[in-house]
Order: sequence, then structure tokens, then C-alpha cells
Amino acid sequence: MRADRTPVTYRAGGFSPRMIQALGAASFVAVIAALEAAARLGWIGPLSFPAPSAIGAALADLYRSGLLAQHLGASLRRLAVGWSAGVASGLVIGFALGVSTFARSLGLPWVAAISAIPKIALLPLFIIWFGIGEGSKYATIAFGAFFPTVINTFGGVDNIPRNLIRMGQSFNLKPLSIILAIVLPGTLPAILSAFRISASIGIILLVSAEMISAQYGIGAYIIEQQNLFQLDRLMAGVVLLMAVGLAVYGIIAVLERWLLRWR
Amino acid sequence: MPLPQREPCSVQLDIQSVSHSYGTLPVLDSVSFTVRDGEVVALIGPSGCGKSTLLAIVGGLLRPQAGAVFQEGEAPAGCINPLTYVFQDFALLPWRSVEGNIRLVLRGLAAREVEARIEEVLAQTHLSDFRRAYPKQLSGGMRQRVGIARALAVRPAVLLMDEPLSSLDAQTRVILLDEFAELFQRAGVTAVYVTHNLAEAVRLADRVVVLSRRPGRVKDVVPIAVPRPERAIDSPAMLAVERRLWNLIRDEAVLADQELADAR
Ligand SMILES: Nc1ncnc2c1ncn2[C@@H]1O[C@H](COP(=O)(O)OP(=O)(O)O)[C@@H](O)[C@H]1O
Ligand SMILES: [Mg+2]
Repeated sequence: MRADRTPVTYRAGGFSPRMIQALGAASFVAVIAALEAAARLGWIGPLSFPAPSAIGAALADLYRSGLLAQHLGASLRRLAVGWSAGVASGLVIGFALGVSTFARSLGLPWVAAISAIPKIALLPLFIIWFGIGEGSKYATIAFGAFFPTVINTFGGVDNIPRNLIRMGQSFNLKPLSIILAIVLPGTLPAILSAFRISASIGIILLVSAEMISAQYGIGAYIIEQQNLFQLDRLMAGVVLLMAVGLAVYGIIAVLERWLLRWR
Repeated sequence: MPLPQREPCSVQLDIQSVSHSYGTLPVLDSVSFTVRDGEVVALIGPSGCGKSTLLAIVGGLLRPQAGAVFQEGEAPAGCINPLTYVFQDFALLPWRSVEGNIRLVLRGLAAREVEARIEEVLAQTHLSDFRRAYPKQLSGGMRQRVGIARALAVRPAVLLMDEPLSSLDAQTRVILLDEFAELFQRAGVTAVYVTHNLAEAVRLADRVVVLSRRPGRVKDVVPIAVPRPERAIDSPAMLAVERRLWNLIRDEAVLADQELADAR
């Protein structure tokens, strides 16, 4: 055997991340435990960051008083109504911009111009138009969910391989069949990512709107606890928001796994 | 097995003086030829000479700037798409299974007829065991079989095949070429078969239309007189035709290659 003989080393590892759910969960446990320990040891004072156990107790209180259902229910209803309305109309307009020259020429400049407005800036206007109650909140959330949906959908339609559409035409499929059987499924990945973005924006707008004016809702609850300087309850509200965010991501991940199983 | 009786020399497709440019780039220059019923016409020429463009014009997927394409004759019974494409890159919908991809093109037929046709073409293309598979699970050869099955399911009058074997590896190409030869002989298919591979052309075609380099003109039309059953790849008669074709396009191919190099 020659002296200069060395094994070839493997060097192509990495760059293919997977999701290990247990690791994610463990990190939550670890952070909570660390915060709890820091609180008990007196490293963090209760006036700067309440102990996780205190936040948990505040949540339990909230649940027992029946207010949890009321706050969470109000928020989720606003999010569901506003987000669905925004996404549904966004899909229609996004597809129109994706397939029609006329719609694109007319619509794209408006989308570009209006999507630059921070949507929360329109809440005062919407309050005048739709009232201080639910209407203005629905409208703000819908408006916020609408634009990312339009932009993603229309980009998704643009990215459909041209040859698949030509294939449909070469088999004499009607335009509607091409849209339903080729364009729509081909745009699903972009639509699902639009769901994710628009849900995040929806939650931001939801909480902002509730902080400005609402009796119930997580945003209203957080502002109320701030005024009372109840940090543990305030944090309980924040934790609720984190839970909503996790739930939304979870639902979309399940949808993706199911709808995009062909990938 | 006797072939179905057809009119001896009725014209199925008549390509008349078709010219086309992309912007200022002339791609086809007054191309004319005919495709008779039951005949396979191979279209060969150097890369970039306008073969795909010509086939797209023939199939109604591109409007020619001059000239026209006419179809004649009666479509076969049950035909729902007379001019039917087979694509080089298969053009399968990745989100549909094998049978789903075929079902897609069988609109307007009774449900039982749809199922019967799917069964039939899957059996013809040796895909019956893979009907629920998705394209990503299939090899290239299998995917092109799905492309063929989908095309056959509409009972086409003329198959328009654009380099259907070019995306496949060499071994798969040989296997599918045999299958095409058998299918063409058994089913009496009428087809325009675009390729840059002379062996494919000689094996499958009744006539070979040779295009010059871009802008493509018909340089010659070479009949393949060897009867189909005798077309073994290495038979002297076949090699002789292949050499004749090579002599026709060799200079074109060399010049076309230099042109591309200049453009870069
Ligand atoms: N859509 C298009 N726009 C502009 N140029 C094109 C287009 N399609 C093809 N071409 C050019 O036209 C020429 C002929 O193309 P094509 O018909 O695909 O040739 P072939 O199939 O014989 O290789 C090539 O030079 C190609 O780059
Ligand atoms: Mg080509």
C-alpha cells in the first residue's frame, strides 16, 4: 500500500434543513424553565418580567373568570371574518391580474400604490366609514390581508410553467378548465405562502385595532392590563398571541402537507 | 394483423409556404410539405433551425407570419382532438396522478367512456400498474409513456411529436424507440415526428423532411423505402439511408454550430 494513500472525505453535508418538532418544543420548555429559575433566584424582578408561573396563574385566572373565551373569541372572530374576506377577494383579483392583460394594466399600478400604505393608518378612516364597532376592524384586517394575497397569487400565476398552459391549449381545454385544472393548482404553493403572510399581517392589525378601541379582544386586554400595571396579565395576553400565531402556522403547515403532497 | 383500411393517398395535413420570424430573427422560410393519412413524416434539421416552431404552427399553437396549414380528411371515430401533441419535456401536471393526467384531456366524454379509454391507453403503454403514481415518482421513460398514453386517449388524427425522446437517457431512448416503432406499425398512426436524431427518423418515418439551418427551408424530402418490419437499427439499408441524411445535414449542422458560437 502506498504511503500517500488517504481516504476521500465526505464534504457535501448540510444545506438541507429538516424540522425536528421535539427540538422546537424542547426549546420552549428550556426558555420557560430558565425564565422561571431567573425569577426565583431574583435575577429578574417581577416589575420587569413576571415569572412564567405568574403568567400561567394569570392565564388560569382569565380562564376561570370566563373572560378568556370572551377575549379570545372576539379576536378570533375578527381575524376569521377579516382575513377570509381579504384573502377571498385577494385571490380573485390576484388571478385576474395573473391571466388578463386588461386587469393587469389597470390593476397593478393601484395595487403597487395602495399596498405601500401602512394599513393601520386607514383605521381612523374605516372607523368613520364603518363605525367604531366590528365593521372597521373587519375592514382593516381584510384590507391588510388583501394585498399580500393579490401580490403572491399574481406572482404564482406568472410562475406557472408556460408549457403546461400550452399543453392544456393543445388538448383544446377551455380557458376556464385551464384556469381551474392548471393555473389554480399550480398557484397553490404561492397561495399557501400568501395565507401565511396575510395571517401574520392580519394578527398585527387585529391587535392594533383592538388596542385603539375595543371592549373585548386580546389587544384590548393587553392595553387594559398595561393601564393597571398588571405585568403578569399583560404577558398572559402576549402569550395568547403567541399561541394564536403557532396555531395559524400549524394549520397552514397541515394544509401544505395535504395540498402539496405531490411535491 | 391487417391495418385498418384507409384511403390510399388522401392528404391529412398540407403545410403551405409557412414562414416565421421572432422579431428580426427569421426562423422558417417558406416551408411546404404534406403529411398523408397513415404516414409518419420525420422532420430533421440542425438544432435551432425552427423545427419546434414549425410543429407549433402545424399544431395551432403559434400563428405563422406567412403561409398556412390545412387539415383534410375525416378524424378517426371517437377523436376529440385531431392534432395532438407529445412534448419533449412531457408537460405532465405534477399534482395529478398518471390517470389524472389522462383524465384531464378527456373532457366531454361519458364517465364510462373515460374510464374505458384510460384502461386502454394504460395497457397500450405498459402503465397499468402505475395509474395512481405521481410524475415525480416515475422515471423519464415512464413519464413520456404517460405523455403518449394521454395523446392516444383522445384518438388523434395526427400525432405531433416534438423530440419526444430527447429528454431521456440513451438506454431508455432505445427502449421507447422500439415501442414507438411497434405502436406506429400496429396502430397505423399518422404523425409528424420532430427529431435531430437521424436513427430515430430512419427507424420511424415513411418520409423524412430535411430542413436547412436557420432560417429553416426544406432542403430535401427523403422517402424511407425499407419496410418497417425490416428496420433493424444496424441493417445495411438503414445505415445507407442514415448516411444519405447525414450528408444532407452535415454541412448545415456545422454551419449552424458556428453561427451559434458567433452569436455568443
Ligand atoms: N419564443 C421565441 N422567441 C424568440 N426566439 C425564439 C423563440 N422560440 C424559439 N426562438 C428561436 O428561434 C430559433 C428556432 O427555434 P426552435 O423552433 O425551437 O428550433 P429547433 O426546435 O429546431 O431547435 C432558435 O434560434 C430559437 O432561439
Ligand atoms: Mg426544438
